[in-house]
Amino acid sequence: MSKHILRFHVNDRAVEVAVEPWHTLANVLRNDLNLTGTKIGCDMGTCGCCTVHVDGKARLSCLTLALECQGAKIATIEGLNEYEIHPLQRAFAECGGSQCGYCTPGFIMQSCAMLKENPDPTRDEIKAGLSGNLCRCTGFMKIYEAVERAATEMREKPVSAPVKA
Amino acid sequence: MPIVQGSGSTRNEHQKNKGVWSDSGSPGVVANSIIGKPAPLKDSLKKVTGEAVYADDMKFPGMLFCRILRATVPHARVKRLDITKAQAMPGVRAVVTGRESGVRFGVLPVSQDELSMAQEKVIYTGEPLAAVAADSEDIAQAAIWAIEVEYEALTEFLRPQDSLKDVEPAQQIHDKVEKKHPKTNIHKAVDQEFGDVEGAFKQAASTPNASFKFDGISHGFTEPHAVIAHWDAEDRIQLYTPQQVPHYTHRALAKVLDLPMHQIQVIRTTVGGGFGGKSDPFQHEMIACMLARNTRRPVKVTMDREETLLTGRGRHPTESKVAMAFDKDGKLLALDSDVLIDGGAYGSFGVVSAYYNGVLSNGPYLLPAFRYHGKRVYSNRIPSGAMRGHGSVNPRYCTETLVDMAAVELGIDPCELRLRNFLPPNSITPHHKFRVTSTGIREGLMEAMKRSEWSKKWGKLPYGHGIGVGCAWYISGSALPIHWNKLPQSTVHIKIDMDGGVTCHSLAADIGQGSDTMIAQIVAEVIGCKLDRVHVKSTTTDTAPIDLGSYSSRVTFMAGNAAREAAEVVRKDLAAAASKLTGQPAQYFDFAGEEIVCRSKPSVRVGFMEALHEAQADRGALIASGSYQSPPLGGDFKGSNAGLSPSYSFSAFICELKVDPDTGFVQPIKVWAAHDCGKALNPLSVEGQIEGSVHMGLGQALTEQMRYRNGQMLNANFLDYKIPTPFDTPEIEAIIVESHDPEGPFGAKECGEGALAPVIPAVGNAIFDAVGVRMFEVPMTPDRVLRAIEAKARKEREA
Amino acid sequence: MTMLLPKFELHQPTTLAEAVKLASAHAGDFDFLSGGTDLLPNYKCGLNAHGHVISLAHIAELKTITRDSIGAGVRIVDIERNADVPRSVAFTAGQIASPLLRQSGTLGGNLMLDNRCHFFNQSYFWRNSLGYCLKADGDRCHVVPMINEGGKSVLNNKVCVATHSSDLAPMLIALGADVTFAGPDGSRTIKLNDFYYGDGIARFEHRPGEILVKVTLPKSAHEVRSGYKKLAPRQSIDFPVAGVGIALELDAGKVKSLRVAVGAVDTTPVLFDFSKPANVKALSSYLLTDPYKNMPDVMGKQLDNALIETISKHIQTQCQPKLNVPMEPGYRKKMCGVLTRRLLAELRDGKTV
Repeated sequence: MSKHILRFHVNDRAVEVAVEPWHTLANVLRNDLNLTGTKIGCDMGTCGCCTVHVDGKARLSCLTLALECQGAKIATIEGLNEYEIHPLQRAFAECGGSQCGYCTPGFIMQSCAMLKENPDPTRDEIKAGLSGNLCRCTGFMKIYEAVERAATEMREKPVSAPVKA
Repeated sequence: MPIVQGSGSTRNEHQKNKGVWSDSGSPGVVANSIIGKPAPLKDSLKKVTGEAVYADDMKFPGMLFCRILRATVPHARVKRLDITKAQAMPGVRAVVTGRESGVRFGVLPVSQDELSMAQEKVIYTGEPLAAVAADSEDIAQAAIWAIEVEYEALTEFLRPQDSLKDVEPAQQIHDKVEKKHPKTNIHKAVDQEFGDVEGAFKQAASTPNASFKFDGISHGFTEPHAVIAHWDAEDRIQLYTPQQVPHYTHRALAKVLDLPMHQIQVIRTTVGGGFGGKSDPFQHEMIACMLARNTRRPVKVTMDREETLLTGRGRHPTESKVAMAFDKDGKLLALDSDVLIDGGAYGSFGVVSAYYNGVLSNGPYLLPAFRYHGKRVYSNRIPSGAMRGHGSVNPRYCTETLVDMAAVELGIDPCELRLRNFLPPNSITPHHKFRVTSTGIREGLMEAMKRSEWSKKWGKLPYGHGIGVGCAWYISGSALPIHWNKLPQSTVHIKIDMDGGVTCHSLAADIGQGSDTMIAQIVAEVIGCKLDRVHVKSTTTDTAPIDLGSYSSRVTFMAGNAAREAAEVVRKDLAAAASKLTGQPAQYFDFAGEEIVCRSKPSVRVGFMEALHEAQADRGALIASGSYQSPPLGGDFKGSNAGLSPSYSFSAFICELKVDPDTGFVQPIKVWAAHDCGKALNPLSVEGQIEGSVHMGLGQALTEQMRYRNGQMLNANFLDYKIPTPFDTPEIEAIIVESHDPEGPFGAKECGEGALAPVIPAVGNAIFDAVGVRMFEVPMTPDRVLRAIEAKARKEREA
Repeated sequence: MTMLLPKFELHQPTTLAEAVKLASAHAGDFDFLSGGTDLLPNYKCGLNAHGHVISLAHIAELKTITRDSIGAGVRIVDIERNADVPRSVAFTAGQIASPLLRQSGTLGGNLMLDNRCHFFNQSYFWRNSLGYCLKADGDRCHVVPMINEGGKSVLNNKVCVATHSSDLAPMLIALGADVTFAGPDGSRTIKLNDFYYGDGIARFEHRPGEILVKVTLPKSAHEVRSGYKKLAPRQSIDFPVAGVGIALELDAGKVKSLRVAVGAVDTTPVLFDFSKPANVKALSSYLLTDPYKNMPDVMGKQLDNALIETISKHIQTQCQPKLNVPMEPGYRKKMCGVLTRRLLAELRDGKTV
């Protein structure tokens, strides 16, 4: 048992890092790559705080082995605002969709993946899409408002410089 | 944004957003340009981008990782604790045990009953016993399991009733117990009686009574506990911790580490949710510091979710017997309650809990006669403590259920009965002398009734569909500090230098509720500058003046007043400068939009920076300090301090829901939540607090419970501890009620905690409206609801 | 800190043949990893971890989905959104856990989910405090501490009653699905229902080196009336604590065939095949639910409310859930009846999901 070289793209940058087979993607992002925007809340897939994108799909990084992402394109919360703040990020901030902020990166990454597939979701579709993420502060109302507002904005003016993942 | 004006409302011009208003504690005239406007939280951009730094996100050179060995039994003597194997493991830098320190600590000076690590005995499953600092988490964890422990079982106290019994001293969980019951495991007993309770019950037309049972509730904050301690080269300890109350941790560290306070710096990291669960000084904080002292290296402790839940301090499991008396018109005559609360292993905030469970029932209704017997007991379970709505939530469910039962019995609409009993503004409660300076509960309830179409629905919806009401009040900060002293409860410092940045220092902890933003808004409002000029530094004890922190929903009221006072000092300096520059008298200036404008000659105005530089001439930075201290309040009986607050918030909630009579499942449809926060300094945050409280309250009402088996928590993870998901959360309509408190900053009162309690009885009462059963056990899980429905059907068949 | 995963060697084969070879080579000391949503939380708790983990995530042969067959490596979300599989199967997939977990989880993982129990799905610390259990590191059961052996009550050190908590399994069993395995001796196909047997430890009939390749649906799966109802404490995230999948054929209102499979009440999903009760495999001695004891004869009868009541009552009576997952067994038992009754009425009345 020894470390393996993991070569993948994180937020559009090619990364090489030696990881243990038993390290999760969340471990590697946070501990090896210092991308601490990705949070660990429950560590068993039931809170959604650790959500990132793997090849464009939302994934629980606490339940994904890092080596399973060999060659993959990863996007984290830090990658959403490489050039300018993402409409979802702005909307979460301005609508009060973030209080303590710990669940926020996960909510935003999941919302982002959801809006890619469904750019014009109804309130019920938003609820369904976010039903694997837990927020203890907001009661979800302002999160829905934020997603609705960002969706409208993104339909009118598509995000110019998204992370390619 | 729906805002309702409550009684006691002294001004309403500001609603139209053009006039100026002055409130009673504020000399001078304040423009209404920032206060009352929705403001995104000042740190929200950092949070949405992942930039905000939480404790576990931090790294230091040479940092070690700590793991804690925890007791695997509820109550036992430690016969042997052998750390030699752990110490010998490569990569292990230090191992500490209870031998490190015998100094007991605790948040309340009267309950100093926690050890950093257990010594001769352990008192709950999960209690820290030893800790390892190692080069990696893997090594630390392996070392923990290499520590050998042998226990000798002691009598376990796993049901609160068992703790009432007289036992041998050796069986007592703590040496120090309630003086009135020296041979038991009772931590605190409170017995109070005021007015003619017996007489009231004799003459009453309705005397609803019931026994209630509440499971323990966890705060469920999303950020697990994490701290980093660093004993630096200058022999100072730096503790990075997501504390709601850095000040009390500061004091406890000094005691346990035997250091002068100034040798310790507590640095609050971003707090990933607290709700009362990060407001005790904690064992892991002490442990991190001890390991840092022994290794001279930074040491990080990060708990997993299970350990976080085991650390506890949540809402007490409670059993209550409560009776109320009403006359035929529904007027409340008396309350008689007997409450047993399970405090778990430590005292924590429990003495306060023991009082609050009784005395906070003296509102929101006028209560002529009051009897309360409350006991908080020690048990060998996870320590209970303070959680959002501390001490008021469970008793509120009892009283609101009984009020509803009385209304049904007397044939009075439950809302109407409540309206007949509310405490009026500018009143004082008869016995405890709680001073109600302002209340908007009447307006709030009427607005919630209107929006929910209450009168069309209550008693009229089809079977399985119901609507219910619940009301509550809560303190805007405890009027008395935990540590008795003459210092202000809140202090805010302001520094403005030539760069024009307004730096505010405070130790009020922003735990996501937005207190930094609140302070910035108040300062910006008073000195007429833009919000983004104001920077709030509220993390570090070296630079921040003392503030008692974020508990008892005190921050807006107390730190807000301190901020206003400090800002007014600066305002005077700037006005003097403007006067000097324009020749107009200093008292004739208005401050708004970065300008200082002469009231009588609006063409005469001075820019903010120009006035600032003039004011700085010959003295440098403008420095100001403001503080807040509660006025003297209350009666003069034993325990009269408990429940005193300079002001109280009020709330009136209505919940509509459906009950599936075959499965017992309750689906909330909508909650109308009217909360009187005095003045919504930041309506966006107020709504956020109300909505979050409703969600958390619904969790306690329907799905959340700490479950035990022989003292082991059965569901110490987020799969089995059931926080409501988006699907389980209904639409929430927050209704802000403004009653303009005469002493609150710009009229503001609390909104962070009081809005939780009314949700639970609103659900219970709506279940009654839907299917005709009263729920006396909380949470109202489907099996319990179904059992109640079936029992009712059986009773009806038999009748 | 995060819960640490135990140390293991990760293998990432890209072909089925390679995977079979690895599985044979590490027989007894490996686990398959597909979506990871079940295995990794269990590994984090130190539950029966092995030295080798063989990832099935990179094998293209496991990822095809057609009208009639679904590869074991197909993600739950792709079943949920597939327009060709029977609606009831897509609907059931959408009931599993949460959108995030469905994004990772796979069909194979859901069918081979490890059984669940309050005394098993706990951290190493917790289980150490308890004194471990039969299913991991220990030698006794805390749910059913005593069993009857030869008329005597003895300590239960044999039978694990951990609950099988899959949503898809009961639905697919009701529809009569087959499962195909690839193994060192070639491939074999059996009824999904025959795959499950035994107690909470054995769980299914899995031969060394075998890999679940796909689930095949009979043609009838598209024709019968079918649906699934789930009981869980919350409306998202949670495992079922009871789940009922039904496949029903009616002929002029009369029952032509009826298969009801109940999940999350026993150590395996339990099939109540009302169509051919005589023709069933021998029940394992561990299974406490006996679907065929006093099974009412419903074939050819009008599916009126009375008959629905009879069927639901039978199912409610026979299901014997244990106090080892959330919600009380008595309540869950009752709900098996309620879910069956409601679903049967909906299927009869043509309500589709």
